[in-house]
Amino acid sequence: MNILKNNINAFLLVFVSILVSVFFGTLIENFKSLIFLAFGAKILALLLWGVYVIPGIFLAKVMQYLFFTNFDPNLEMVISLAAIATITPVVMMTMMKISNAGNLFKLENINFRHIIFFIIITAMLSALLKHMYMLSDIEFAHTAAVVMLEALFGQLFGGLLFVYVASKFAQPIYQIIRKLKFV
Amino acid sequence: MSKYFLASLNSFFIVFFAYFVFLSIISWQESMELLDTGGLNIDIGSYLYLPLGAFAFCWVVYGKWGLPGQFLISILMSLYWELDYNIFIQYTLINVFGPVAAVSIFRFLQVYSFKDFKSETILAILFLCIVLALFNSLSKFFTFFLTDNHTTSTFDFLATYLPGDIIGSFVFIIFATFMMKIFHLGQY
Repeated sequence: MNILKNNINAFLLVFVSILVSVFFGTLIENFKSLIFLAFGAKILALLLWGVYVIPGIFLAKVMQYLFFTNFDPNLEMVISLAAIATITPVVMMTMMKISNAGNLFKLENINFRHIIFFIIITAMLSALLKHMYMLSDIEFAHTAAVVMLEALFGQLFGGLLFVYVASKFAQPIYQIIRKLKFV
Repeated sequence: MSKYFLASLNSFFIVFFAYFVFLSIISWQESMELLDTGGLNIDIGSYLYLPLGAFAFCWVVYGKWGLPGQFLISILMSLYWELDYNIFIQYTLINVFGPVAAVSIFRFLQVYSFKDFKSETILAILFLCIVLALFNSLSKFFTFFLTDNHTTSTFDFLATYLPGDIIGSFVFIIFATFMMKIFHLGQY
């Protein structure tokens, strides 16, 4: 039951941040925003609730690729891209743990700098894998390098901004909500 | 002789050695008809790009004192391959400063200190090589494709550069660390 609740939370967190990025963000000609907050939301969900929230994140990413893209994706492409977006952070987390670069599976005693490092390398790998898969099939208005550069910086800025803001203001906001007795 | 000059000279020869082996492998592949590049084609990466590991190794061991030597050998190699003027500058800057950026991120974000490779585990070195390859492949991809200096597809470019950088840098760093241990060479 707890896992289901966490999955719903993760789905809502990622999906709402996708909506925020799409409707209020600096939307550019391709499918990404230059400050793509959903990347940060995905990372935060994984850090907070662990790898059990992968289905929730995957579903949110599927919704993103189905409804908020400028190209016309088929189902195989949607599932592949969503899978790459969901699995890449988990692969990097595992790799960091195996090579003793920092255990991001447990939030206690975590070094915030390790989270920044994690965001940087995950953004790079994610942008690279997704575009290697995508650019061979889709014709974009811009060149491949421009599309990938936008995606990379969107994920990087969005990820860093979201995690920083969340770590800075999540606790005070939660306390205010508790005082107002909504939770 | 100045210590700094020696550091630069060592860097020069280490990177030269990596280039020499890398070119020998390419020549051997061409002679065995395993590869037909028609000379050096920078649009297609090699699957064993050793010089990346050499640049990273020199930066970790010699620090900023090794940079002039690395610059010199990178410029000489670009001249040898008769690269275009635009590509020439980008190629040299990425070769020298790509590993600097990658190792510095590890250090600044307190992931690994990388004082020398002798005290690091193989997994740590592998992780460094993956990040190095990501930096190198992406920066070369952006510079080549933003300036339209390419003839191959995006997929072919990345699919050859990325694994080649990972394997090449890992092989070279492991080899160099092994040699350091055998000959009891320390940090500069």
